[in-house]
Amino acid sequence: MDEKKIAEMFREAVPDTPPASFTHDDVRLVSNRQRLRRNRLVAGTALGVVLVAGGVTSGLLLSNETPSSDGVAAAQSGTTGNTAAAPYDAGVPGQEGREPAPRAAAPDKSFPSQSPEQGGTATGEAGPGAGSTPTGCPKADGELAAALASELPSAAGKQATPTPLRCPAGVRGASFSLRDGNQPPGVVSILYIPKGIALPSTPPWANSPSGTSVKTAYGPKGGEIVLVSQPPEGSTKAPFADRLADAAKHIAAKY
Amino acid sequence: MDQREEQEFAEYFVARRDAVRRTAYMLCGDWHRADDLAQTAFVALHRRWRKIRDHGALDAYVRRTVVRAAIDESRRPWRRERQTEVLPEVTDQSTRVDDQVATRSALLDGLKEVPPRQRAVLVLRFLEGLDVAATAAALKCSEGTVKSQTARGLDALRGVLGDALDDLRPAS
Repeated sequence: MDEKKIAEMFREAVPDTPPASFTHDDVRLVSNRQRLRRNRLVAGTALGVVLVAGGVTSGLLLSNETPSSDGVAAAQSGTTGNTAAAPYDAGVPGQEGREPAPRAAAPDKSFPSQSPEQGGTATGEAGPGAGSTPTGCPKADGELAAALASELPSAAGKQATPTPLRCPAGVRGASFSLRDGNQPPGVVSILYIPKGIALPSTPPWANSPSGTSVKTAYGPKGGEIVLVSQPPEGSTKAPFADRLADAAKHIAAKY
Repeated sequence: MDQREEQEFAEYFVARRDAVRRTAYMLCGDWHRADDLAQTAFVALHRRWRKIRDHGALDAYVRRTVVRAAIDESRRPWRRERQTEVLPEVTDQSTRVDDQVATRSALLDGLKEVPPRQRAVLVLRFLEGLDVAATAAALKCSEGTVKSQTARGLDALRGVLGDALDDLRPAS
């Protein structure tokens, strides 16, 4: 086969591209979330290293003070020290004998187990934390409901309800059951995520039905507005999906 | 990322999104997974946007990320392709609308049967139009490996399709 012909066939083989299922806002949202998680991991690791270093330093300081006080301390250290640490004594070039080794050995021994703990804790916390995040939107937020109603006239005069989305603590939200044209009513929700609050790895709208539309916008104060439109049962057409992006931008301007 | 950088990224995203999705589609044969792969690549690019000084290398970076994500994903147990002794049912060519559609379908079906790494080489060489050296750079392997993978990939494609591609090609 001629390489040019093969290349031609490859180019022809790609059918027309369907509409993309992600936008620039989605990319930015996921990227920011990953960055926050990484920062937390780095901060946790740094804290762990500082604590271990502090433990080692204080251990060394204490062990240096003890033998200098009097010779009896040698016997005390010998009794308080772990006999299992005795093999480490051989490698310590001090003439105090046993004292520095057991004291210093204790943090040393804990270091290898501390390090995995850090990795485990940081990654472990992100997982369960994401899954067991308490619901932060037990009631409909009046301010957000009014803001959404001002953007979607169909919501004007309707009673806002608590959002069915699982939102983390600190996040506010509200929902409306809205009918778009002749469609059965779907649920349009608004969430406000204040600056500094990170969404879990599984976002509140993760379990939404097929066809759900999600649009986000950031405000000048760092807050984030998320609009989620969920289609009615049996349909994949989310109500007012085409207006969510603009609405999110307008509302976000206040946050 | 400041506002200007975000704007630059947005412009690049708009310009390249569909091309990256098409490459991802050829790598995995499914638009939903293709979108996942493309989004993964753009997220990785967004996170490193400030660090990438040579913006002429953006395409290469995204391409490499998509290919690696596709190969990594194909290694996951739930994505692993299953061997079967029975070939998939051959579609009745007489019902095809035209030869071009048949060629397209045959090639896509055939690509799914080619091992992931060979598929990646074929897509980079023939869809993206990269030469051997650029493909080797994208896959971080030697040029010899690219040549051998290309030959094996084409053999595998011929093995699956037989002479279907030549027969179905529209007369030019």
